[in-house]
Amino acid sequence: MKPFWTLARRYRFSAAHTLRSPGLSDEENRRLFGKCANPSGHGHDYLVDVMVTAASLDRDVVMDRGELDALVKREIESRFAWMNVNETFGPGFLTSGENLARAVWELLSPHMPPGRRLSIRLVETAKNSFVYRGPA
Amino acid sequence: MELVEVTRKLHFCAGHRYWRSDWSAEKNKAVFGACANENGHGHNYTLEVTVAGEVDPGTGMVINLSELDRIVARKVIERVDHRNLNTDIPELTGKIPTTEVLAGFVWRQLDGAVPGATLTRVRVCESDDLWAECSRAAGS
Repeated sequence: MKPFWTLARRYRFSAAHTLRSPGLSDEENRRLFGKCANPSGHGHDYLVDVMVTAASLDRDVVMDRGELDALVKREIESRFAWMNVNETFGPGFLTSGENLARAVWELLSPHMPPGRRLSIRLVETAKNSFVYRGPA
Repeated sequence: MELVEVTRKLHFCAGHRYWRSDWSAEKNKAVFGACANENGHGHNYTLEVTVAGEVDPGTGMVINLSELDRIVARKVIERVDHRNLNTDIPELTGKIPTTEVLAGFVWRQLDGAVPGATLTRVRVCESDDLWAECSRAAGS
């Protein structure tokens, strides 16, 4: 049978963050998130796997790699690389891996070529990774 | 029915070049960059083959991995290892041997060729940062 094709590209960003739920007190945040709630922040070398799926190829590719690289540079690197993502997304945004994966998806998804479906895997550490494939 | 997926990882080395003959040299260079260099380049590819099937109660296996290795070797590895993907694979004539095209070739070579198991995914990794998959279901 005819398969689906996925092109995947891995990007790397080093960024600072802290886990803080905007509705909770300092003490409640500390209880919920432990050392991840340190208000001074900490950081990760995030890996972002951008996976683009299509039912057929267009000129032998799912998507042009240069176009994808430029898109990620413009929409993601500018907000993540060597930055504090709590500053990037503001105090109302809890910078969990789940939320960051969804934020990356929401920033890139509008720019996908026609007929292309986007999935994002955000790897926070070797032990934690998160996949978001878009609204159900 | 209880299905288990089994993934086997294999390696091959091959050369290729990204080039569209209906484009000018300038446009090829602009779109494909160093991948369009005239004399080609190469990669140490990793291939992951995933099949799904029922576990044989006698062997505890979906498929004997030695048998899977033999099939993948004959159908794929012997065809692509230490070859020029632009010139040595008749099925790819006229195509750019992108990672996606290579994944499609592997899929067509293996789909239906593994007795007692169903091919569910092939993943061709050109590097740690770039790979392409063919899969039976979208987003698997």
